[in-house]
Amino acid sequence: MSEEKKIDRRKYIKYVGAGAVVAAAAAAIGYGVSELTRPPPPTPTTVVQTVLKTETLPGTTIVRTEERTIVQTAVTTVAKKILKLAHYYDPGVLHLREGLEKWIYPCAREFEAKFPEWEIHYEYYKWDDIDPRMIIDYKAGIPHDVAFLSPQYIGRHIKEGSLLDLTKYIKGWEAKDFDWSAVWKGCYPYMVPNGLHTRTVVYRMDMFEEAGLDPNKPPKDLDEFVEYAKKLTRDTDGDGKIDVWGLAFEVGPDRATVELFFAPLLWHFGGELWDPATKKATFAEEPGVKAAQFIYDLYWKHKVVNPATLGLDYTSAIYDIFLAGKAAMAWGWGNYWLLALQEKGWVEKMIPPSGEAKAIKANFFVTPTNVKAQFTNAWCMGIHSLSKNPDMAWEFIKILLSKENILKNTDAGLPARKSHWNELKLSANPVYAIWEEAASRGRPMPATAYYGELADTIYDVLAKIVMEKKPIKETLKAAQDSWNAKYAG
Amino acid sequence: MKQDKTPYLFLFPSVIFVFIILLSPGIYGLWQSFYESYKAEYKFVGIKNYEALIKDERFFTNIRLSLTYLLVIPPSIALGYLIAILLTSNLKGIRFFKTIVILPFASASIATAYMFRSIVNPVFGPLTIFNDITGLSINPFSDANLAMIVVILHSIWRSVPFYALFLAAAIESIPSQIFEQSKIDGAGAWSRFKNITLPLTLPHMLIATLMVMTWTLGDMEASYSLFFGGPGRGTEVVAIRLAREAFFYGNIGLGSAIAVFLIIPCMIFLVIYLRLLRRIE
Repeated sequence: MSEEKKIDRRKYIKYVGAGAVVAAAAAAIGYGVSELTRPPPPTPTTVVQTVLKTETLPGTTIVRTEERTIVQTAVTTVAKKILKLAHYYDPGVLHLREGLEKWIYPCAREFEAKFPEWEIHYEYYKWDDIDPRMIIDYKAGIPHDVAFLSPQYIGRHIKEGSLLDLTKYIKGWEAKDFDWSAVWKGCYPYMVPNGLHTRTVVYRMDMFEEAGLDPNKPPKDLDEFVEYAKKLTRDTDGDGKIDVWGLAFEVGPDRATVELFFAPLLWHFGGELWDPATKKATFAEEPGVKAAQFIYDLYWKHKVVNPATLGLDYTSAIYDIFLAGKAAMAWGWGNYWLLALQEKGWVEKMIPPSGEAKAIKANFFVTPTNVKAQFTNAWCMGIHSLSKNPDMAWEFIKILLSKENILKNTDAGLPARKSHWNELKLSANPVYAIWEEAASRGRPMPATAYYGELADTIYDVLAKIVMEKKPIKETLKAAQDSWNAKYAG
Repeated sequence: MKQDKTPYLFLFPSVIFVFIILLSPGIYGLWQSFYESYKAEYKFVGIKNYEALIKDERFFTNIRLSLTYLLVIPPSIALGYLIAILLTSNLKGIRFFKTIVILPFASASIATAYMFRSIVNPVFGPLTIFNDITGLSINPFSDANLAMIVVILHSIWRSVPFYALFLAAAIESIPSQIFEQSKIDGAGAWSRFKNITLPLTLPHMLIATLMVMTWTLGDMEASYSLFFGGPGRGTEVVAIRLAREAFFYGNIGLGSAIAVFLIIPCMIFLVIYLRLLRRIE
């Protein structure tokens, strides 16, 4: 009996011990995660008080002033009004965590200090989920206030009525400072941009030299571009296998496939994805066929892109491949990835933006498509239609976009305010000049209410053409007809 | 004799609670499948959403892929049974093995899907080593059939522990006297398995299978996390299509109609499951 008890006790201790270890590990992980995601506590305010101090000495009274510093931490017991901020700043991603810590949280504190009865509540969504979520929540009657939004969804937002028209707020605001036509046209009057996202081709200058190419003379047109890519595709160790591919490109399961790869080529060949007059998809016309053929040839005829990257998402196929030194050039390199280049020491003084920016090992050139054949967008901010506090939401947006604050947004890409370009002398800098030219060549995605469906359809059809090697013209036509049958008009 | 109705009165709040929590979302979903909504207004469209689905070739591909996904079951049963027999044996170190075997089932499916995704990454994953050694160029990211195989393998990897634990419990519930008696009667291991273990664990196996079937048909997170329904739409099972329509595109009506289609086989499985459960009890 006592033996049994002993065993039971031992077992009990063992289980309790194991439980305690698991609980401690879970608590440590939980604490770590919460520390990572938790907004920092309010900065203690320092108040300098001047007090009169009297000192009585025998026979005399001395009155003197003394300055003392008091550190106050705001302690509030009154329930505060909540203003929601729907954002995509994933604390697990370097430049997004920086954005949270250096831009969003300080701006929230500034807002809360200015309007002490208000408090910002954070709602995190994945970047490509945030717009659909705002729409679905609108249908479900769930209110939000400020939201980060993507202009590609403007058509759908308008159709659903999920965003507030900001005309009355924009009128009295410094809108002109943000007037980048590619973005502004795509989002006005429902959103305001907080940056400028555009893309160039990034290339390794050392690999250009190794391949006998002049790193200061990037290709001027698509034919020359393909020739460069061929020369840059090399078996560096002589084992019969390609180690460095000329180009990193994407045909993958996200919107980037249409936005950064197919659409620019289609526009280059004179086509359109969608006709706003008839509201029909037009991607299967002759220019679409040429664009798909060009993409197909990159993989299978010119053999300048690693076919193993087919089907990988944008980050894996472009960012990871280029940073790993497995490609000499990468098409569709966004300015939101400049921090990664800077961390590697391949460029310098680009984040935060500076007129002294310099290309060290990597440089950029404007994608050699025709003028206005490049996608440019931005992350924008808008106010949810169900917001009960639109005026306060706009106040918060103004703080986020103020001249002092907006430059701290590490995911902004290029500075959204034109005045910053002048003040920081960015246009005069040769590296920034390339990015400025790319942005000026930009245009938005078509404002169809079925943009998500269109992007998915185009990826599906490109997968059939490039991966399954289906006939280009017929496959494109079938996909276009199918899309039009469901969503045209 | 008059039956006392007081217990029903006490049960009434629970019934109401169950109705609100469990049934009302289903009924609401069914209602939504007859509507289209824009600008937060619902417009009655009758069976338009169902009609659209029936005419949609893509939806039939989704169904075909969902049915293919059910291929998870036969190998999972076989492997699960094998492991269950091992778990109920008196082999050394079996307790450690019991702990290990539960891990795939206990881990979050999204996490394990991402793990599989990194394994089969054709540029950075271990698959590259295999490709280098064999000279093959296997890439599930660009081959829909291979992608579906990976989705199924991932699901087998997760389902086997469930089968193993479920069946191990069933085997252990068989009275040991039956085995002892059969040993005395001269029955060998195979005979004992064929005539005792298998028939007595068959209902449990069916229950486990019905549960796995329901999960598999409704699985979106693992299959989506692996290949996002791709390459192209090569692994777009019905559950992924549902999520796309309802949550990515905002077509709630169409999404609800797909949900109704998806729930029908699940309901059938549920009825069979309940009947089997009653029979076991």
